[in-house]
This record gives sequence, structure tokens and C-alpha cells, in this order.
Amino acid sequence: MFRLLNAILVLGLLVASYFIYNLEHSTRSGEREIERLQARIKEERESYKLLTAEWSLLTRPDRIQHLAEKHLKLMVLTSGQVIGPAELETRLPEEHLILPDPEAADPIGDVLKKMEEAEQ
Amino acid sequence: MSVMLKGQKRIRLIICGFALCFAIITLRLGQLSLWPAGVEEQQGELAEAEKLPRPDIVDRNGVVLATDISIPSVYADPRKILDVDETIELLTGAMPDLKTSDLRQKLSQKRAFVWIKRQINPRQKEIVHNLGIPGIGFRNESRRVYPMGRLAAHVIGFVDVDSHGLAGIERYLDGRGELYKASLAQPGLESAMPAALSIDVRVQHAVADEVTHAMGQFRAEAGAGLVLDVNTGEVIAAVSLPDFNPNDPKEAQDKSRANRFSGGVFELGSSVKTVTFAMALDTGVTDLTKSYDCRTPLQAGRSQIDDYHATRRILTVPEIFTHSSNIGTAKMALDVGIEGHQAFLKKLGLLERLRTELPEAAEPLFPRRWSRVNTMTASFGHGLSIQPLQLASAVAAFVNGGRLVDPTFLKREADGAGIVSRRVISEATSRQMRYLLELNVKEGTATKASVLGYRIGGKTGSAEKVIDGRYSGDHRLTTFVGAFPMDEPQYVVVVMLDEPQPTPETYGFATAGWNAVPTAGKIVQRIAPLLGVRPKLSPGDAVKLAGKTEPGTAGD
Repeated sequence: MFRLLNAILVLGLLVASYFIYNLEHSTRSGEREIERLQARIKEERESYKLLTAEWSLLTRPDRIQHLAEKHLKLMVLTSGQVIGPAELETRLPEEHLILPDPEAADPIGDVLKKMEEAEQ
Repeated sequence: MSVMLKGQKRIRLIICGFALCFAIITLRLGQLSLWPAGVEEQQGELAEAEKLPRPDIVDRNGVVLATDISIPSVYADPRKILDVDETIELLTGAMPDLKTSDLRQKLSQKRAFVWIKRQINPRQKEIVHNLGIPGIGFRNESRRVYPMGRLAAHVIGFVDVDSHGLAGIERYLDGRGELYKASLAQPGLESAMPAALSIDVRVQHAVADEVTHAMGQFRAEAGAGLVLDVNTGEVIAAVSLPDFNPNDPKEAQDKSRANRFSGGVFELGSSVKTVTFAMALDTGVTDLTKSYDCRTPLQAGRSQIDDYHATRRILTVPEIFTHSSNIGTAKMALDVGIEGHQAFLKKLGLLERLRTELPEAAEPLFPRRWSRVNTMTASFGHGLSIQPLQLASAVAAFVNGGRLVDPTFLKREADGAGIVSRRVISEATSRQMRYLLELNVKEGTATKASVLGYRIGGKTGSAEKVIDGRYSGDHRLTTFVGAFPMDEPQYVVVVMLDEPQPTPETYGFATAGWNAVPTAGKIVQRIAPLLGVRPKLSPGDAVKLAGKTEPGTAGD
């Protein structure tokens, strides 16, 4: 009688301890995962901040203006260049489209080249 | 039997003892697993929590103007370094500006911590990290950076090395009390709301660029520009030149670089006539059909009040405005009376310090004992010094239907919540003021502000500066205050130039009409598309535009 009870208890102990250690183990690894992820979140936040700051630095209006003056032929927008949807039909400039040739090796490059030629 | 009993008792005792021990262990285990001890949690934060975290500052469209970034610094633990020579070789290879002798001295010490290099860039960190030298580590230090540099520096302000705000909005953020700091200090709450300014960086740059250009062209000592939303009171652009770089705020100490749009008061000259006209029209002592005799100079105490653009004839009220007649304006102010004049200035807040979020707010200057002469001179802007921002906010009230809105440097809610306004003139007077301002650009002193397609209205001012206690004819402060579009004004523009010089292109003139006014016109042309103001071209304008084939170049 006692022997059977003991046997059951020992067995129960073994089973219970197996599950507990299993649980303990997964909890530990879960905690490590949380820690790791939080560190990564922090890192990502830091780099996000750094990148937004850098974006701000690179999109400084004076820098954009300087680059535009150097590389583009742009002018200050005058009132005559702004039109409403109603006038769209009568005000569209006549321009033949330059379509990319899908067979060419560098279709977009070709279009850009053609546009430059057309401008000159 | 007794032996049995004795044995059973002993066993029971032992069982009880074991049961107790196991119960204690179980309880302790349960306690530990349910309420984990909070010992190890704090460690990670300590390294960086030396400085107070500050919220980011962004413009009205969310562009970052100020942010904290953590910058890595390299340190060494000399006790853990295996080979000093190899370490030095590797470090100098990665960071060539390090000195070998310094490094050797540092690494030979018997200490646990020495800085190798403070504040390196992310690329250098990557390189050093990949070298994997034992005993070399990184520690992050947070630093305030202003990626836009000088842009809007006077509004943003700057901080000291310990991240305490010293000027501008940075100072204001410090002053917002413990609540604001507490919401930031929570380590988990890293996405603390940024402080959104009312400034639009694109408009700010356009204004700064045009004012810089004008300062160069007219060799002016200083300049300022303001763009104010007339309905919300938001300051869209606030420029004061020369300015400083908040990343290196040493030059901000220089007095000539101080904030001029709110941190200084000036005699703004004839621009202040807008106030006198609004007062005279609103109190009903005059109307647009009345005329005043401007043939002879007006005696004021021991001196005379005369007109710069003297006409020597009887002028109607609109003519007084467009010819900027001091005589006529002074007469109108006298009709209102000393008390009425003072009361109106007080109602507009021109006699007290205008307080916005910026700590830089100068107190107006005016005579404590206000006589008839003071009313006469103050009517055309002499003897009354105010912040340019005060004039901008008064003119905003004159054109927006008569409500004075407190100006702000912080973004207001889109639905208009939180706007405090009070009526200062009637809507009818506001309509008359719009008419006068637009008339002045059409045919008065401010014709050079006109931009085809945008209905601009405004008033000029060319005040003589006081040099050694006397008004000097050669040193002028020229201003333009205006609004656009005049059919439904949305923005007020103020341009101020300090001591512009005559140039050949201005035929030797240095009054506002030749420098501040065309600058304002260029500003409107550049910012109107940014602010979504649609140009309206009359058929006549369209013809003029078609004939005009010399548009300015970018940044002109």
C-alpha cells in the first residue's frame, strides 16, 4: 500500500519537476528574448533619430537651393505658371512625348539623354 | 505497543519537519517567480541618464529642427588590454587623428577606465567595433543637435552643455515645469511628443534668403522678416539677421546677433500710421471722404512736423495714407485726442511687453508723460518703440476683420481651438483698412511690392535712427508691413532693414519704398505658392505676364 503510494509520488515528482524545469527554461529564454528585443528596439530608435536628423541635415532648404542653382535650370514660380483645373485644357504645352524603348539596354538613360538633347 | 508508538511519533515529527521545510521553500519559490526582484532592471539606463532628455523640436510639417542623438565615445579598460602595442596600432589605424604617445600613456595606466576618444561618428564606431580589440568599449553620450543650423535659430534657441535651455523655445521648454519634464524622464516613454513650432522651414528659408539678399544689395547692417498667419496668430517665419548657429552658440553672445523681431524695440516710423488710421476710422472722427490741410508744416512744441513726400496741398484721407503725410496723420491723431490715442494703443497691446513663448521679449519705449506733441509724433511712429512682432500682430487684426490674436511660435490646432482673440476694430473699419493698404501698393509709396497675380497691400516706414541723441538723416530703419491676398488676407509680412544704403539702382534713395518694399514683394512671390495661396490673374495681368519674358532665376 505504502509502496504503491510512494511509487506514485516519486513518479509524480519526476513528471512535475520535468515540467517545471521545462517551464523555467522557456521562461528564461523568453526573458532573454525580451531583453534582446528591447535592446534592439532602443538601437533602432536611436538609429531612427539619427537618420531623421541626417535627413533634416540633407534637406536643409539652403542646401537644396544651392544644389538646384548649381545643377538645375529652375526659376522662382511666377503667378502665371499656376493654373486651375478649368484652364488645364487650353494651357497644356505642346510637347512630343519621349517614350522609353523597352528593347534598349538602358531605356531610362536613353530617355534622359533624349530629353537633354531636346532641351538644347 | 509503546515501542511502536514511540517510533511513530518520531516519524511524524520528522515528517512535520520536512513538510515545514518544503513549505518554506515552496513559498519562497512562488514568491520569487511571481514577484521577481527588481534589482537587475535599472542597470542599462544608468549609463545614459546623466542628462535630462529633451523633446525634439519640429516645424509645422514635422521636419526635425532639434533632436537628441546619442553619440558613441570610445573608452578603454587598460587592465584588460593584452597587447598595448597592437591595440595602439589598430586604434590609430581606425582613427588617424589619435596620437600614439598619448595613447601609450593612457593605456599604460593601472586604471579601469580611460576615454580614448569622445564623440566619434557612427562609421568610426563600426570600424573600431569590428576590430574586436579586448578592453575597448563604447559608451553613448546624448547630445543636442540642430540639423538645420542657422535656420530659425532665434526661434529655436540653444542649450548649454548640460542640456539646459538658454534661449528661444528651448528655454521655454525648460520653463514648462515639472510636468513636462516628468513626461520626458520616463525611460519607457521614448516617443515623447515633439514640440511642434508654428514655423514652416520652407517659408523661413525663403524669407531668410530674401532678407540676406537685400542686406547684401543695400549693404544694410541688419535685417528682419516676419510672416504671420492673420487668423491663427501663428508665426510662419521669423528671421533676424545676422544670426547664429545653435550647434555652436558662442556667437549668440554677440549683441548684434540678437533677436530683432521680438527681442528688440524700434521706432518703426510711418508703418505705425496704419495704427493711427485704424484708430481714427474706428472711432469715427474721420472717414475716407474727409480731407485735411497739409499745406503748412505743423508746429509741435519747438519743432515742426513736415512731410517727407511733401505735397503742399489739401489731401483726402486715402491720399494722406498713400503719400504717407505726417501732417495729415498727426492731425487725425489730434482729432482722436490724447486719451483716445493712448487707450487705442493700450487696446492693441502696443504699450506693454508682448509675451510669446520666446523669453526674448523687449518692453516698448514711450514717454511716461504723454503730451499733445507725443500723440502727434507717435501717430507717425516717432517716440514710440515697439517690437516688429507687435506691429505685425496689430496689422493682422486690421486686415482679418478686426480681431487681435495673440501671436504664437507653437503650432495651433487645425480646428482653431485655443485661439484667444478680442475685437479691437469693427469689421467695417477692417474693410476700409484693407482698401487703404491695397491702394498704397497700387499707387502709393509701396508700389514696388506689387506682384502680378497676388493682391498685396501694405504700408512703408522709413524712420530716422537716433544717433547720439539726434535723429540722423543718413541712418534709417526701413520697414514694410503688408498683407496678402487682399481679397481675403491670410498672411501678414513684415520686412525691416537696418541702415540700408542708397545704390545706383535706387537712384540714390534709401527709403523703404526702394529696399524693404521690393524685398517684401519677392518674399510674397516665393512664399505664396508654398502657403497654398492661389494667384488670381485679371485679364490685364495675363497680358502683362505674357509680355514679360525675364523671370528671375532660382533664389533670386
